[in-house]
Amino acid sequence: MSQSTVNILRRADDQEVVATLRDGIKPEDLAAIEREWGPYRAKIKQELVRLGIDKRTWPQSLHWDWSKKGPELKLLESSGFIIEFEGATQGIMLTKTASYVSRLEGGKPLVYIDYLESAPWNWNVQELQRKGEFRGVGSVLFYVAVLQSEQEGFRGRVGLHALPQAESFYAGKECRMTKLGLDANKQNLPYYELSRKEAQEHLSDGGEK
Amino acid sequence: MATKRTMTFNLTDPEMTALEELASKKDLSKTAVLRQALRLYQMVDLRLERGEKLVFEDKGEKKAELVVL
Amino acid sequence: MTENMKNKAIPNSKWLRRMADAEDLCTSVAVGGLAQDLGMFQSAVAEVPKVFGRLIEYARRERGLSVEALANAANVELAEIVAIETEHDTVPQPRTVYQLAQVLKLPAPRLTELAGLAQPRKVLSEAAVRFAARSEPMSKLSDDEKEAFEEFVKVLVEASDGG
Repeated sequence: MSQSTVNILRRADDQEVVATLRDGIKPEDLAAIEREWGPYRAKIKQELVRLGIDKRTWPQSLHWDWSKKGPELKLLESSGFIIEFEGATQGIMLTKTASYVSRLEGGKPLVYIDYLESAPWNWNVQELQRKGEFRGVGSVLFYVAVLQSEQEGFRGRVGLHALPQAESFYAGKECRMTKLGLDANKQNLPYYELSRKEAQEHLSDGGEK
Repeated sequence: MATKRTMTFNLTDPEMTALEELASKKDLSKTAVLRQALRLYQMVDLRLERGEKLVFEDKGEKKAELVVL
Repeated sequence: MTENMKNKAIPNSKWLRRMADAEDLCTSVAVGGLAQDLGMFQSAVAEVPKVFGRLIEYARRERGLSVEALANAANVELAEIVAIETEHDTVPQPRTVYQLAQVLKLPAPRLTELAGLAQPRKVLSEAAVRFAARSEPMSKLSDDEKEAFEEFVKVLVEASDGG
């Protein structure tokens, strides 16, 4: 496991804080994270139920359970990244390097983002008038995926299937991804890719200034 | 990053040529190609072990060919 | 991989703010297949038909209690009882399950399994299927329903005797 630092934003005072980025996480780490996040998920769900909020508008990752993802980490192609601040896990991402190749750019390898989630206390849940504690966690994880791709020699290429609630973010001009249609092999979720060219711009935009 | 260990191995001419072609095609270094091959082999092996099937589907003929590794 | 990143302060402030603003415009930026459909993310309750709510409703009616009366007796939020009885995938608070078990005189550990808070035993899954097949939501418990309910409770109690 190795670590370095990344910046995220604290909403309360709009300050940038220096968080820890760790890779090489193990299945036990995932179980621990879910124990950390579980109660917060449950609380949000209870509130949503209590207020009778339509399930279709609930955060789409509400039911997730990272402890079940352990087995996936055993493969060489899998990488797990977490962002930690003040002893709490702020976000997780699992990527794969061999399961998918670029459909946009002639079968070239890419980093596929299998799962990405920010901690429940970081979610903006409109129906509960709730704003997340830390901002930009998802963006930083996305950036880390692009960096991983660059370091693997994949030139920054990244692919992912976007959930409906997240699509506008990945489709937007900040992420610069290209939509390649709905994927029947993945519940018809839209598949997005970051091309080499856009990846380089993304890295340069987000990098040290 | 995990500590690295060194391995040297010899390739025949055809093997080296194939490696170079793949590297060029995939826009990767030769080392990266071999690393990808290892990951892919491990992943496929695990999924086959789990009972999944790997299939090549012929676009024109609608014939599916089962891959056994 | 992060070795190479050690000396860089990433990402830069301007980029971070711009991206965070974009994130704020969405409900979520989570990535991952639709949770309920993926084998990877399965809740315990997937093993057992969702009979928890119906069981609570039956037990309540068998005692001639209104939803409000049950909420008071169990010292639990009225809204939660309503949700439990009417919403199929409500996951109740552990405390609520315990309280209901006390008031309705049902074995708490089995109730916890039915509620989806713990891995259910096989005998429970089978009994739950039978109960689900025989029971219908109605305002008065018919003789049939009463019988179905009693049989199910018998299994719960017997399963508890084993430990």
